Amino acid sequence: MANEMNVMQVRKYRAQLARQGAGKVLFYVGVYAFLILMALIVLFPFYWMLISSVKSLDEYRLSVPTFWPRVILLKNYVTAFSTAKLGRLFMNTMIVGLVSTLLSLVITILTAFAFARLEFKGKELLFAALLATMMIPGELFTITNYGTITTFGWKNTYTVLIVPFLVSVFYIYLLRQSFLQIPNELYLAAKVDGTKDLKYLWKVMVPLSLPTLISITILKMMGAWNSYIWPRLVANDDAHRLITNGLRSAFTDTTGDVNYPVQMAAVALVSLPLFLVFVFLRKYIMTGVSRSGIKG
Amino acid sequence: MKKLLPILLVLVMLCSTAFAAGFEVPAEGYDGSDVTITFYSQQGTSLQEVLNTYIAEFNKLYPNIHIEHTTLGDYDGVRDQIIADISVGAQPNLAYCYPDHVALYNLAKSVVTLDELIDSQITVTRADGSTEILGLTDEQKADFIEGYYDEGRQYGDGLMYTMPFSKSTEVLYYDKTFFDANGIAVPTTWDEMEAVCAKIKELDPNSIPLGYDSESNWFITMCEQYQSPYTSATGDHFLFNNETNRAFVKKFNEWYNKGYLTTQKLYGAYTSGLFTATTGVRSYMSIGSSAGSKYQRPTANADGSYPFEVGIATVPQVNNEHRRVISQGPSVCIFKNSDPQKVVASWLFLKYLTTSVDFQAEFSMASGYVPVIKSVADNAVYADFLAQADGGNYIAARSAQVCLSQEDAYYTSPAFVGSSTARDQVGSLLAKCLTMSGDDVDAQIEAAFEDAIDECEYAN
Repeated sequence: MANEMNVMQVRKYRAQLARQGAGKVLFYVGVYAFLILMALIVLFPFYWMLISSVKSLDEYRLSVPTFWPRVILLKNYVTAFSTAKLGRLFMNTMIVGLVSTLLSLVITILTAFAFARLEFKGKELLFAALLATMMIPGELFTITNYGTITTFGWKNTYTVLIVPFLVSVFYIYLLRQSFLQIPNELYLAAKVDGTKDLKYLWKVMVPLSLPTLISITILKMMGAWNSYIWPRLVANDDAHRLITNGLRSAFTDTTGDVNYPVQMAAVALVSLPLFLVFVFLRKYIMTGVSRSGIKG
Repeated sequence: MKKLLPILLVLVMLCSTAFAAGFEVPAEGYDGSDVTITFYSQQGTSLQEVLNTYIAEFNKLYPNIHIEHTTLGDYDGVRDQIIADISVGAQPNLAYCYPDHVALYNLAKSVVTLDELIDSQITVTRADGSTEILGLTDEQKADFIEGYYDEGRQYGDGLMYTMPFSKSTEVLYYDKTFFDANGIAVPTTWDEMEAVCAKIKELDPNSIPLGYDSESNWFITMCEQYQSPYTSATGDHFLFNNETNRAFVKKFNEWYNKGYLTTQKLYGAYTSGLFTATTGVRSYMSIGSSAGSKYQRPTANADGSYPFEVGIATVPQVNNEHRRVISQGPSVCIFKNSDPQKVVASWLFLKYLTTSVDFQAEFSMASGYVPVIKSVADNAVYADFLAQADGGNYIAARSAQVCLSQEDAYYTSPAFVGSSTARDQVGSLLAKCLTMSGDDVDAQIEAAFEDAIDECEYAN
């Protein structure tokens, strides 16, 4: 009798385990199916960009689109490179991106250090005022900034693409919080040893906050690479036009028709650096995203 | 940029008080001052090369007038940039424009009226010692194609705000090989068009005989051809809800339901795709921009020949005694400036470009647009270009020939703030009405017209 009871219990237990196992499998199938579906939705525009970039214009203009090109036209990439003067656009964007990132880092580090470590009158008030500027949408500054740079005669220069956005209150805030996590004892010990503030900043605080600084660098570079409205407004000559602006306008012919396959080829070329950045630095980008709460 | 437009428009209107109206031509005309003129356009690389050549030629006559040319991608791009510029008082001196753009700039009274400059008899001395009058001579005025020239005066106050630069229109592309093989005559009226569509449908039941790219152009052109109201620059702006217009829309609705036609919105792509197709569902006629003729040419065979020859004709009319075809393409306006010498210098440059036969000829051949002055037809290079016209490699020349042959038929519609809304609305209205079916189509059409008027008035 007792044996029969044990056998029954074991069977019941096995059936329960089997049910749980089947439930788990179903759960994972559901989760993975959902993730695959989401991945397909996210990847579809990239797939569409790539296949459109090798189609002929006639094929692209069909009312029922083809999901695989009838004829693969790799020459679209050559046309894109020559038509849009992509080399020049890349160079302009790199110059603006690198210089503005470097200068922005210097300003951000020094300002964050001042607000995190130094003591001066009105520090909290000044910091609150800086934070308050974050409440005003950036678009509202566009026309006033445009008026200012027009008065300065800065249109169509690198200066106008770099200077107005060197100071980011958000990055200052982010780095200040990072600096504040470094124990005061380190600073006081350094002071006892006679270390200057700048040396302490460079030797101690910057290395300890490196992950935050890398995140800021990547986000700033991506911001410069993707920016459109301001460069579109202030820099429209060949010598200073940035990549986003160049791609928008380079493939429109005199009648207003756009050669979309060639434009798509150019977009694919321009997306490549960002894709590589994502592949190799995704750890830092994810850190930056989670810290900043923005997409980047 | 789109997000900024409402803010900028408010600023534009606020600026309107900062400018004085009218332009007083300086007594000395152009005094030889060293001035830099900024010119915004949307020209591609090949057109910029043509323009640069003629800037160099102009500078031989006026070496102290420096032209800074900026290309801004597309017409809306030019408009958006200028709105931003006006809001900070830094507008260019010259710019490509469409009539509704000028109406918008005029909210800030930023555009120079050209009448005083056109009529000026002041003598200007060039660098080579020769002279010209600042304004236009009677011969120069008469040389402009009237419909293009009159576009500058469509703002309701009778004043001239723009000069035509390069123009296009709509033309009827047809499969000449098919028409010739089946003995079909090219339709010149809409009644003939109906018969031709019926005939084609008999020959190829699987086809959609006619594709019309722009629903907006179609509606507005029909209003012009029927001489029924569309819009007005003064008083009540939106006048297109009337019996005549509802009747022609009803007629085309019947055609659509018989499978005679489609449009870009209904087909989901440029109808040239249907016209150039050689297999499957195809069309045998397509009405589209004369400047886009290369898109109406089928892909060449391996030996360089084309599957069929494209013929080009004037769009069908309601009545051939009252021909009307739309005038499209950019004009150029001059913006007010605190330095009158800059305005005069801008005018001299604009006058040079629009009256120069060589420039107009070369620019037209490079762009696919047609020249705005009649005398270009006498230019040897342009005449050679036209002589090569065919339905294949030189299709642009054939298109230009048709455009030049209908110079008496061009019209432009009134321009005011909101005219582009009316244009968009009638396009959507026509596309919507074409697909209506059932016993109460008249009531549906009437309701759709009322909705469109409401939309226009709401947006305005």
